[in-house]
Amino acid sequence: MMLKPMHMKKLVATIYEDYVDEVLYALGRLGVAHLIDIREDLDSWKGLIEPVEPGDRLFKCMELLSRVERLMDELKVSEKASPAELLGEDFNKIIDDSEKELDVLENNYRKLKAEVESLAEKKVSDEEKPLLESMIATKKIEFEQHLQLFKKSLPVIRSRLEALRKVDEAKRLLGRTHRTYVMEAWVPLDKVEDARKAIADASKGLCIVEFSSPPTEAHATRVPVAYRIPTFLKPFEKIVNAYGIPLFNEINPTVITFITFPLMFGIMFADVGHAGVMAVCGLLFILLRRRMEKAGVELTGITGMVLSAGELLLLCGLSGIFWGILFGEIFSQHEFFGIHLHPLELLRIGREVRFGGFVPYEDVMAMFHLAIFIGVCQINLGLILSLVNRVMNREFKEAASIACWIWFYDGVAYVIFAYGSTIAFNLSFWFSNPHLLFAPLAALIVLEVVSRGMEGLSHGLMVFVESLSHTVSYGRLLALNLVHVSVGKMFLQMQSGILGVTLGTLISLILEGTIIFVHTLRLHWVEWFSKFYSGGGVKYTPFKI
Amino acid sequence: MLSPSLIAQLSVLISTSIPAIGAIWAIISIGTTMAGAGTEKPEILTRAMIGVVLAEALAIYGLLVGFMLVGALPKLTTEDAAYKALGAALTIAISTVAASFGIAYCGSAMIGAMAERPETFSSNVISVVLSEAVGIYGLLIAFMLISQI
Repeated sequence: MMLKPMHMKKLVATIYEDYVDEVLYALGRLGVAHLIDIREDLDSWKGLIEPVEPGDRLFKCMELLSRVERLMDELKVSEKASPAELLGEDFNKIIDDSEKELDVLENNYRKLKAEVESLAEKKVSDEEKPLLESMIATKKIEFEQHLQLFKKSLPVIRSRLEALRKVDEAKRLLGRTHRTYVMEAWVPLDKVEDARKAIADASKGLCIVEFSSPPTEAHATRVPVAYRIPTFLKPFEKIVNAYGIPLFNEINPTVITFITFPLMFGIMFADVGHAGVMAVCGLLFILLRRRMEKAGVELTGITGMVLSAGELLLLCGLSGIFWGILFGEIFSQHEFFGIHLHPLELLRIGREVRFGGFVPYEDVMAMFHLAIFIGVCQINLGLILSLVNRVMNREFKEAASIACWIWFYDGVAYVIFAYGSTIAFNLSFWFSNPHLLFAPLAALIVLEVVSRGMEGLSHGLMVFVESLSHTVSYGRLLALNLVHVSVGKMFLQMQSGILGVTLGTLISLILEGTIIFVHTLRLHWVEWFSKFYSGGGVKYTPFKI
Repeated sequence: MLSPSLIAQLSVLISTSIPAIGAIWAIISIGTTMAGAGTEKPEILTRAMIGVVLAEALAIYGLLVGFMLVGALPKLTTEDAAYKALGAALTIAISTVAASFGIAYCGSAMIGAMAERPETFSSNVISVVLSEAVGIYGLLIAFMLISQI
């Protein structure tokens, strides 16, 4: 399931002190346990354990690592070794061994370097010159041979020290008694047996391992969340995670964002031509990224960021084409090289909400109705998701008040769309149709006051004002659509023909694309997420060596 | 008494330039904070961009109203129509300047806070985007005024 995180179990292990390094190393190689800092909840142990202070070994290890890095920098060695196999070795000896090996390597390097330099600086007569040159050449060959040796051994030393450093750093998260260490971690349900076996094997059975399920209350211990998200959803996951990581007991909106985000973007970027170019760019980025991944090129920096947004651009572009057909826009015109577009009406809801079939630039009010209708739909979706969250967490009082709120909100929306906005201020209408407005409002106030007292009343008022302003905020769908069209038209007025179209397209893609993207983002983050998504969770980051 | 055509031209001037002043003020305020915070934590800059883009959008709202007014210039011959144009221009100008105040202060404070604790972003960004919403309200009313000309 992509809406809910993987099920996690809490692991509490008590390990005999002689085997703690081995256990941590084995767990790190397995890479499934999200370690918890024992200091977060030290009180619950009632003074039985105390936090671990970093030992001298960690500092020594860091010092050696920085020496290795410096030598590698100097020799321009950039190879990486595979993770070190340390099982069965004495962990305390690794430091001494590595230090000895490093000393030898450093001495060799300095000696050779000094010899080559002193030979090069020597002043000799002309007869001895060929001799000296051949000596330098032999030294250089020797140097090269040593360099090969360095290239082989330095990365290995580094990976061994790295593994040791990770073990020691993880050890700082543990707690200890006189002769044992206590470890707390989260492990995914299907990896529980692997983790248990790894700990038992590494400690030769001198351990106690317990697993418990997470408590389901809303304010329970923070459980890390992990989702199985397919690659094409990754850009949307980034959008959601930039706001916050989902809590383990709330719905992850990534899959829904996959539909709503391109939809909203498309309304504002409604133009068959511009959106078509964007979709083609997205497709090219995806293909380019696939090719680069196959070639093993690492994607970093701004290129990586742009290329990884390929799916997003493709989907947003397709949606823009869809809305462009409904509004009859191609390169800010209605015809382009013989392609005539007429606004196409797809759907009509009620009297005034029309999906397509008008030109937004000419019929502003029709577009306004459509924008507000879409806003009402998304806010409803957010409220329903919030209801689902509350019911799943068994907070029925809050769920009832949200249900009443949905009823009231939809009642008002229905009345305004069906009878016009002036009717909402007509009190006799309120009483003649109690099921639409009066009943839910009364139920809402009663529920709020019963559950929270007078504070509930002010909270209800706040929610009311917030919903109103959030709904009006969807008017930006209209505003940015007009901005998009008029910027394109402006370039056509300045320079008609192909040059104007090209300039308009460029500006549309870069400037308008960014602005519309940010506004779509904001509609999701503020107007929609604030209804149901707290984003206060912790990401599952397993301890890995 | 000003002639309708002069009022119309002034409306175009007001609606295009005053939002631009507001937007640039917000961008100066946010951009300088970004430059400072970016030296500390460059990874927050992509998220901090939202402030600059929202501020820039204010100038575009002004441009949009100005553009629509230029399109309506031939119709702005009566005093009544010209005053509606002036109303639309003042609406967008004042509301975007108000929005830029909010974005400038909240935006730079948000970025400063992010340099220390990036996780505060999701709650602080709300004050920035709500400030920007003020500009949108003005824009919607300006549209309605222009559509009545």
